[in-house]
Amino acid sequence: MELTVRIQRYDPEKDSAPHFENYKLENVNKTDRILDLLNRIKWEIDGGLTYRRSCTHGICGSDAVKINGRNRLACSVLVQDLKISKSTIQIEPIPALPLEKDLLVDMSSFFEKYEIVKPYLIPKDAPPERERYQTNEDAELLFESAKCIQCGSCSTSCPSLWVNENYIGPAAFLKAYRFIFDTRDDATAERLDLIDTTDGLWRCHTIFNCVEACPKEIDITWHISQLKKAALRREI
Amino acid sequence: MSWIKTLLTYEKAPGAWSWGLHRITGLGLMFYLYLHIFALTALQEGPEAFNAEMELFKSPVFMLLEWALFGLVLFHSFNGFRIVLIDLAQGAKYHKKMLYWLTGISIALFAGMGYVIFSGVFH
Amino acid sequence: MAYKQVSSRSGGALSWFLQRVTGIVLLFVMIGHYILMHYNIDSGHTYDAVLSRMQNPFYKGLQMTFVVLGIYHGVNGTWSVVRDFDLNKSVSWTIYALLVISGVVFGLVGITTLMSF
Repeated sequence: MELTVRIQRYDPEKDSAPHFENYKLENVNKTDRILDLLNRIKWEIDGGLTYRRSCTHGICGSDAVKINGRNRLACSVLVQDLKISKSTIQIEPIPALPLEKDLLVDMSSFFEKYEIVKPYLIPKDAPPERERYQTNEDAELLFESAKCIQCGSCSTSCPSLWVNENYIGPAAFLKAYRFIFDTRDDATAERLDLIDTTDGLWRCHTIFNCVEACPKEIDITWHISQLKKAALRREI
Repeated sequence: MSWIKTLLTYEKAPGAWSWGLHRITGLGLMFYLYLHIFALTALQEGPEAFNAEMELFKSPVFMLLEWALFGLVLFHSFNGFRIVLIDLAQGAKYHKKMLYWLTGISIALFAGMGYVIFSGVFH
Repeated sequence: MAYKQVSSRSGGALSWFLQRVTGIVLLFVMIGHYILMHYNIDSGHTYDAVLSRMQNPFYKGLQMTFVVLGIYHGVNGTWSVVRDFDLNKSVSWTIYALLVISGVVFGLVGITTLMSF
């Protein structure tokens, strides 16, 4: 089939503001990934098109873009997964982060917020001779949150971040959950202090945009609700 | 203010609609509550002032406004109930289903209220 | 942008929780208000009808609860909308003050009306 791919372009050396350009592609299969379309445009039409990709298999989390109005992973979405009107697919960078070029955004603030919640195990005891054991039930609490690939789809889909760049955001909360609810970790209070703030948990208004955007189908809002309850239990 | 453009162009799933409407209806109800308290100060001025004011509220325009107000109350109440279940129970796992059910019940109650207001059975 | 953690633990949990608790209470108060005050066969909206209703301490208490909780819930809710925005300190304090003052004023007006019977 024939498809028009409408891409937001921006070259900081030439353009004063981002604009859209259309690229017509023939012989598109409905099982093509959106990343395949981007690659074809870069390889066949305009070598200057700039976007991130690495593993191309939904593991590294580098090719999150806004496709047809919603954040998704370009390598994990097929043409047939999209509702396509007027044979056009629209691709923009993920919102609310500084634009570098075309679909490329500066992710540093995203990762700085990630580091706020101390994304590493903080145990009280010295390391045992072998690994730290967990029961199956305890481990199961963490499985869903541990699926995160840090692509940034969730945090940049959140209206609370759009209006206030200080918001810590769902990705960092999910990481906080992963350690707060880890039985081997002993820094629960310390970590809760870092997210029980005005720029933290209480800017989450259960909008579910993060859940809609997550390419790993993590129910992020549920995990945040567990954190809110944990923060509340300290107060009452 | 670039967030306005983002908000308008980003896909709105049911959760986003309910969040936006909850805020708009909430602000509307806050405004109405103040208005309601202000209107009732006529009670302090005695029967004539109050009864004259109540006559005014019997006009069709105010009936329509009364019906619209019930719409705001319905949405805000039901969605508030949904939010409590999401925050304090396991509602995140079935929030869309809740929204569909609550919307359905709301529409039925809203229609019923329309009958009550315009037939004048209780006035 | 180098991100800095500026805000600190703030009691946000408590106002978040109270918003939910007052919301649930208001749900029942609202149903009571609608049925008892407005939509029943012999409610009536004349001065005398209101006067006779307000002799009943239960009705009066219900209205009092409605005024106080309604305003608290409204002010707290509006503030949670306002503080989502990255406003500078003087603007956000001004809005906060206006909200609190308006809440207190309208609350007192409502209570004065109720107590005038």
